[in-house]
Amino acid sequence: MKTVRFNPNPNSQARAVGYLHDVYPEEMPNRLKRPCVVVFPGGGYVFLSEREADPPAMAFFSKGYNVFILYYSIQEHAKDFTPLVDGSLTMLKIRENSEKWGILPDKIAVCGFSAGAHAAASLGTLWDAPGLKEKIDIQGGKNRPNAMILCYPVITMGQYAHLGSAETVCGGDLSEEKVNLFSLEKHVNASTPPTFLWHTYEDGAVPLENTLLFAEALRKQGIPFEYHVFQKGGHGMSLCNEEVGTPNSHAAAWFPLCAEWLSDLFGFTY
Amino acid sequence: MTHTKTVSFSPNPHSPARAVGYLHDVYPEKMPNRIKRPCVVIFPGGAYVFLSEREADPPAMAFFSKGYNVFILYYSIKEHAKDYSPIFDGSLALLKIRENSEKWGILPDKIAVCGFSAGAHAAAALGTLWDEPALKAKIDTQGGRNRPDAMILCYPLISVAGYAHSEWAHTVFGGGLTEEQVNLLSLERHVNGQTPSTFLWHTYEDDCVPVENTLLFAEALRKNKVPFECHIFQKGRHGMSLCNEEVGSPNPHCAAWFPLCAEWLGGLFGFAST
Repeated sequence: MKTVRFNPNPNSQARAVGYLHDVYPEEMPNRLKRPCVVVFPGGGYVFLSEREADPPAMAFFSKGYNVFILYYSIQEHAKDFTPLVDGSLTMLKIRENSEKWGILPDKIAVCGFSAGAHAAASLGTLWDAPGLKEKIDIQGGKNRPNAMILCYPVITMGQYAHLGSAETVCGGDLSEEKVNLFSLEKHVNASTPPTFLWHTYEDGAVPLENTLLFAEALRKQGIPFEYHVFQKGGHGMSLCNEEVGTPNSHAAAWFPLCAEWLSDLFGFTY
Repeated sequence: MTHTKTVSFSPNPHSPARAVGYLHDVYPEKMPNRIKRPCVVIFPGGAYVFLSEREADPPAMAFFSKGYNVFILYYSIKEHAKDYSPIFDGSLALLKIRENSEKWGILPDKIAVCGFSAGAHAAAALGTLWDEPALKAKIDTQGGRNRPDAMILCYPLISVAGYAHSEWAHTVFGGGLTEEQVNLLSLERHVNGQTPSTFLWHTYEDDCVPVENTLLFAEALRKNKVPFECHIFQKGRHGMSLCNEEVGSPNPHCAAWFPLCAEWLGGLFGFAST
């Protein structure tokens, strides 16, 4: 395994860490290039959860994916679209280096948890937003992910918002304009990528309505999705195993279901 | 060796409905933890015009093998389905099962209904309309002993609003649906605080009963604070039953619904099957 690191955004402190499979052209000729998953850990835009960084990254790595973890901008650095710019520049950088890093540039998924899923979903819904294109050159949409995996995501900034995330990402300005801009269910359109969602009914931090609203918006736009709601379990269970300290053998089904879904979408058999 | 007892009865004197039960034998000495068991009542699908065999015995046996006593309710279809007979069939079947719970080894407060497609509409009608005045005007629900304790809804038909004037409505209800019928039979409008906990599954690609049916019901459950579990798989067509070779529609990904459902129901009923 090779490790690579880069700072995608010269105007933020974001950093990306990649774990790449070594390439063995003779013995493993089917694996010269691989699909990629970019993990966005959660933490309410105030911290970056370790439990949602390496463990899911390694889970996808062990299924054959090359993986990156994006430590995007948080706290006061999270305002003004910065996490979206971090994410966009990361996607551009990965695609630019796809040959060197052994990555299939049209098979790159983002996988976010909680507020990290808000950052990931903002990339999937706002990748073409005029406000973003004013700030960076998206090279005709090379910042668009090919799939989204959203784990107990923060989606809406309205009635069912996770208030801490909302205040931080909106830079303390919960005006109607900001709320509309960052309520991602309002920005789903025909160019939003296929999505895998999971959540628990009992989630006491980010209400289930966030995924219900997003699923409804995807359906209205004809975007295929898979959506699993487990009744029991709290917020932030990551892989739902002993490793991450929140074992829940029932909800742990999300990862194999997700791996099957993604593998089918990307035509990538492990 | 466990022997299965079969019982059958006709719940509703005014309809051709019949119920067939498969009951575990009781071995008080060797299996003292299994004197009484929870029960699952299966409602096969078939658009209210037939009753699918693929959605009758196979899921019934799947729950039986997890330790449940099971019934299959062959409810009223075609012209017999009008005046909403299936909800009477279902209510009377639940009353009968509870009445005989001692004899049949059933825990009367742990009875789930499990329906497929139109059968899930019949099952969900029982879960949402069990206390409806129009129902109670015709039968004695014995203070709500027709209410299921849980619902399992597989690619359910929930909202009939889109079918009000379809050929189907004509076949089943003897004409287009009146506004009153549409209201009564669009079950997402009747979810309330008394609706039992629900397990739902569907596929995004279902081109027979659109996934909106499940999304609408999930939203209504959430608004009324009724706990639920919901699994929407992207791929796969309508009517896959257990999603295995047995039923002729193998789909290993979607086949996850049954173990997930059995875990969910086991958790809800405090009934460990392993």
